Amino acid sequence: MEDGKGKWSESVEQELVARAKNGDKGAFDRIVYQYQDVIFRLAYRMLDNRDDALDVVQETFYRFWRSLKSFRGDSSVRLYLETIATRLCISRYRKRRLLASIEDFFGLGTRPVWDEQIDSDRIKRALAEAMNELSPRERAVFVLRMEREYSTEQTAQILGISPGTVKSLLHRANDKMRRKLKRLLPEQFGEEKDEGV
Amino acid sequence: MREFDEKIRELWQKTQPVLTSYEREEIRLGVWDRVRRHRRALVLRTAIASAAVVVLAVVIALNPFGGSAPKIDESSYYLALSDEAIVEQLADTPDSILYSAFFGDDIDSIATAVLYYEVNISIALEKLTPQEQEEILLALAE
Repeated sequence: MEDGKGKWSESVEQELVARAKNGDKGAFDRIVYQYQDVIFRLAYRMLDNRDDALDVVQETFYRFWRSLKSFRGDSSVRLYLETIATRLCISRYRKRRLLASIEDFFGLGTRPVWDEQIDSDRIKRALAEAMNELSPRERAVFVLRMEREYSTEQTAQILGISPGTVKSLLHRANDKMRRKLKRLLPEQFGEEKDEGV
Repeated sequence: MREFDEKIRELWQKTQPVLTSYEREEIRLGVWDRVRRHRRALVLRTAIASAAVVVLAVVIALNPFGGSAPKIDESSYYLALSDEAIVEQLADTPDSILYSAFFGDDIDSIATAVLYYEVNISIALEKLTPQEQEEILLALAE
């Protein structure tokens, strides 16, 4: 199994889930340890803020713990966690965008959406700025594709939408990203030969 | 498009965030802290529910509503729909009509519209008084 720390297979995962269901804290900790990095990357890409991403990771594992009894293992633990995390991120990102709109309405100006670590790096900042052009669902589809290269059907399953909507969201996200990055990083994105394809 | 894909993937890899060992431990402790809070809340909720069952039994025994069932109004229909279904159903309705007819003009309805549906903020907020606008801003900032 990829992204593993030490020996990790489907049977090990099933055994750990079974033990966690019976109240074995150590087994649950191992699941947390195994998947916290991938869930953190997903959340961070969605939210551009380290503290928010860490909070989403904690909330994701907490919700998984709550649903352990009903978790039947139809999907992998990883896919299950990614589904929870993605939906939490969409909700937070949507709320943040609404708050920014309201602040604009009241003329309060916008707070920076990326943290200082990102701000110090021009490329990271450009990527963050381009991603801020995306709607919550466009962003989720884009991040899932970049992080995991999931198929359209898998992405649709995570987001609870149709595959057709996923294709449309991804097309729009790619288009917005390309335009924005072409302007922000012309030396890297300015001379695409297949522009408009 | 392939060229863009390659470039953006390269950029993506270069900017990959990494957890520190402190953050890893913070996550683990944070998860268990939430579990503990959940258990405490569950105990409290069980106690409240037990008390509520007693109150409900007394209310039913007294029958203050005279046995008539509550009406199922239009809002119940909308509450049963998913967010996406609502948005699809009302996609062709002009914004101004939509807000008044569906969400209403009062501050609670507009707060719901603003928080849970991707409505045009300006149109929604213009329906409120300056005092109500301030109130909604404070509520959303919490």
